[in-house]
Amino acid sequence: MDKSFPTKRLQMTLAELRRASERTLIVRLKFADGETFMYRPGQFVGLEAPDGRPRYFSVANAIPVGNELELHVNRAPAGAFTGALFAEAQVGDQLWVEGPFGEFRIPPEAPNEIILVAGGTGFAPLRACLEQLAADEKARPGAGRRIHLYWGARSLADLYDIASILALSKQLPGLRFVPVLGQGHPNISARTGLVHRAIIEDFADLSNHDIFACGPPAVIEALANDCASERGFNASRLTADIFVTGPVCEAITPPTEGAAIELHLKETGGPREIRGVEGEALVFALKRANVALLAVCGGKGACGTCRIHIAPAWRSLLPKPAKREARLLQHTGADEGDRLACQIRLSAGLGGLELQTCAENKGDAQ
Amino acid sequence: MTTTTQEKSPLEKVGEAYSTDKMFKARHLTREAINEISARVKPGMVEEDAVEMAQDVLAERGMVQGWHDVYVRFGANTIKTFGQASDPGVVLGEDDIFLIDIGPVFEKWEGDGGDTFVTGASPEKARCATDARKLFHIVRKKWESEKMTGRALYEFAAAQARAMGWELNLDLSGHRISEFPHEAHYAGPMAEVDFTPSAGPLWVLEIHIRHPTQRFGAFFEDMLLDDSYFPGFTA
Repeated sequence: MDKSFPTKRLQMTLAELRRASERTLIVRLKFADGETFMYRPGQFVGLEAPDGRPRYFSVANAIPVGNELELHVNRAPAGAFTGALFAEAQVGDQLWVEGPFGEFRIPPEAPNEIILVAGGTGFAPLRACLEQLAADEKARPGAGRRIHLYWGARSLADLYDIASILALSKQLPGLRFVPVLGQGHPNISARTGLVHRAIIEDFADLSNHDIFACGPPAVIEALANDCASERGFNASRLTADIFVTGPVCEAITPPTEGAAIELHLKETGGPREIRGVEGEALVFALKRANVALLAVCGGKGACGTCRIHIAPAWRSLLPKPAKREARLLQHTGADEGDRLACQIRLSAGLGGLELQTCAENKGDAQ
Repeated sequence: MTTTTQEKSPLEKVGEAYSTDKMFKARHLTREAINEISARVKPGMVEEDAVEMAQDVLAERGMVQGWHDVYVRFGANTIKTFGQASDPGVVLGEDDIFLIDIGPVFEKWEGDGGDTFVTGASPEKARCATDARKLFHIVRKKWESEKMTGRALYEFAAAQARAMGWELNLDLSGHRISEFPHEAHYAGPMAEVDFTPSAGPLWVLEIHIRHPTQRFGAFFEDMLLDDSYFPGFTA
């Protein structure tokens, strides 16, 4: 298991706000001298909005040069927080930032030829990973990794950080960049259409490829399904950072105070350790660790799709299901020992909790 | 079901279990449940009790599962956006307003609907509830007649709401529905799609308006369908 960094909550200063396109704002946040903020390329942080709810953004730089994190903010059409960032935020403003979160990464042991897919600001975590790969290449020249980077965007203007790709190309000779635009451009001969279709056009066989993808659920879903059905892609070789919106996304930040609660999770791929925080609902710790759970209703106890199976020794330590949970468990054909992860609040007594996912509740996470 | 000749976006995909008939059945059961819940809500009730009652009404109809939570909001809580926690302990007044927003799953198919009701004679509150329904149909007619994109529809809806004296809550908008769960196809808002949503039970349209200065609002939601599915509606 690779190193994980402690989650912190820090007050950071807006050091730069740059409109990179009509829809994209590049934000640089500086943390104080003497402060440290450790994360792994591919991880994300939460920015606390005035309404108290966090909004999540991937870090776009591999190393916080000058104590600065770079975030790429896509303007939500009606998003109060992103709208305020575009319209009102000023350099020097203070923001509470929490993180790092997320399991997305391109591991050093990844195959020599990999495919990266970005949808919109899904480019941000991939850029951080590419910067890391470039640093690795510099440290161990000659690795010559072949990287196919596909970036899907609505228009040419939405490919807002081409300069970084050009710079990375010089450090990564094996980097091949394929922009894919939703709308054609009269002066550019870029590919058009859906980004994953370009991959299907370029690769006759994807059965032996690893794909790393970041972007909206529809992009990832189409990529996984169509590449599997048309090119023999093995979906277990997709590592995805799905830019989820909605209640789950808004709630996955753990409480700022509370002891760490270690959880032992059994999955198809083998056991792993997950860290929750005292006081939060179990579902949010699992979602933060990209455990494959749907949790469609956002942890409200309405949908029954965060059902997990508790090991026998731990069942009596949990409060009995309330009326609504009991009704849902019965309705969804739960087995003895099944519970809804959204209804289990982590407490000190649950340290070491052993659980496993239920196959029928698996979601989009990798 | 109305057919469409435009090439469908991948965001309009449906799964193998999708069934037009079942989607309409889910719609029918959803509207019935909304009416039953509204009939059981009485002044003096605490909002939390109304939510539990609504859950019971849905369970009685076999819709234990919901793709989103059950919302019954009283008074000032009617300005809260989707997913936001209500202020606790709000009691419905004699001259008050309340809204219902449910997303039940009927067997494998998603319903989704909402409506707003008043308990007294406040003309402003009554107008708010009526205007939410009215605006729903104005926007729906615009979609039907001009084939606007999702994004354009909500820009239009916001302007219309302003003209009617309300503020449209743009933190929520219409969205996909399908066999459960629709988020396998597209979990995002209709207000972000740059194509015309197709006819048929694939999308819902949501309208949430708020009074510009007072603390109440109204909500209406139903499937995005043509006039033939709204027999009582007159333009």
